[in-house]
Amino acid sequence: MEHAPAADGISGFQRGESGHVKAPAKAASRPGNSDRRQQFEALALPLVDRLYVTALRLVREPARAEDMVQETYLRAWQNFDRFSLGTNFKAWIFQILTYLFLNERRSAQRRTVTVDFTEHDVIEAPEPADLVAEKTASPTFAGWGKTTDWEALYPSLVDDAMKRALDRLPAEQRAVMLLVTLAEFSYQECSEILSLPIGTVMSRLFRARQQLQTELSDYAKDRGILQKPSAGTGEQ
Amino acid sequence: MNCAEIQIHCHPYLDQQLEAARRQELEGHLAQCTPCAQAVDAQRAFLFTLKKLVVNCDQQAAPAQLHARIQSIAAEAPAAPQLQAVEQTSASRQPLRLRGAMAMAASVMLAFGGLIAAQSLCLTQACPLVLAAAHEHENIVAESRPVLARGGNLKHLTDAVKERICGVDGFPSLCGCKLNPLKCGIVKIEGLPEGAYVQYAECGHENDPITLMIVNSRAESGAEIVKVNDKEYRIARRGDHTVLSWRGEKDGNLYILVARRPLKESLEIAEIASN
Repeated sequence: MEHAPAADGISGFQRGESGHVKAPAKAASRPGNSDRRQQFEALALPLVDRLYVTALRLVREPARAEDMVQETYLRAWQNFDRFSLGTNFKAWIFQILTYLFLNERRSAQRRTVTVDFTEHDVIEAPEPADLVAEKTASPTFAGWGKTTDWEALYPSLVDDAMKRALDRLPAEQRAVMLLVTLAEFSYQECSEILSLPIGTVMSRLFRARQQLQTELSDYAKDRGILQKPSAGTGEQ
Repeated sequence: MNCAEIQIHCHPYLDQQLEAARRQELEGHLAQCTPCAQAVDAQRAFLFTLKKLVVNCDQQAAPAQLHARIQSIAAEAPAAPQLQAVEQTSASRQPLRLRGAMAMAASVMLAFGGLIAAQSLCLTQACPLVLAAAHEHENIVAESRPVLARGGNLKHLTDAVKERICGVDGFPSLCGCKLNPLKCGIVKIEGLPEGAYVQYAECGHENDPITLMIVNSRAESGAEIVKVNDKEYRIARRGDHTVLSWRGEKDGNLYILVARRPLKESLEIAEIASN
């Protein structure tokens, strides 16, 4: 029985296909329970750290992040039959994690109102309004042309400032930003993981980065690390 | 490519997500436009630092106890359920590998206790999405729970349908086939009784879409009725659709599962089941 290479470790997040755990395409068509467990473990266990660090930055609380990762693995194992061997396991299991996170957020926000559909008029299948807005809005680059010595600011920002900036990102934007920046998924993979059009992925990512850029630079200015009026800024 | 377009394509370019032709166009512009080149360099520096910040702002590995807990999951948790027919009553509980929209139709057919050999349905290359929808159908039948009883507005409701069918509640859906999650909402469709409004979500392969709809209506559509364990199921053909429906025991809603595409196999199954 072949197994996915365990070389897809935690060290060095690598972009693209090389960073993905691939199940052997020549998997047994109907493996026994023990084989299935071995397949699952070979694919899943190397990703524990990656999932945890992503979960931690999503929810910001270690205990919740641990619970979320554990739940992700439980669901992945219980639904492992539905995973097609040879396809992108990393994206599949990150999809579970992301859905758990977003679902938890939505559940907390959802009101409990019973709706009687017989009272509705006929409505054409709508796109959620915010997605339409996101798809049609062209990005406006607030900081375009500004030059900031981010490398010099890095030591001042790496702890509290970055955590706070992450906290302030809307959940959907945070998820996209972390999937691209930390888990190193392509836009297309993010689109599949989040079941969103690729344009929406790009606009959410863009907005997330814009907000982070603004917040981090405001943080530096407020503490006098970055001079407010100029500090080498030059508008185009 | 002009200066405004450079702003739009800047991050995809830096993320190496731009297709080759556009990348060359963009690089051609940067070679001739110093302000744009400087702005892109500034963004490159920001994204580089942002990545370092994201990676280093918090713990970079899972605690040891989490590793231990994860390792015990596959060993101790119940094994992943093999796909089985709905309420299969025969002694043989062979796992079925079903394909495309047949998954749903076949599972229901077996639920009817037909004597059709399971082997004739053992197909490979199952789409996890469709299988998930088939499982969803099983769960709804088994638990008769309302899929959508709550929601504050249309967006919440469409989200809820998406979640139920596209994976949030434990049915991960990534399979390489295209989802179209925006194709869900509230509509009125032909072939349903007057006054019946439908929530629906569509997913699956482009050629094998499968749709779960929940209708809040007391009216029934005409169809062949079969009974399993005193519970009525209906199976019908509506043009190019094969329609399975049942009434939720607790919520009274009409649940309809639709296989679109004139699948020869599913139509045959429908005919067998209705006989």
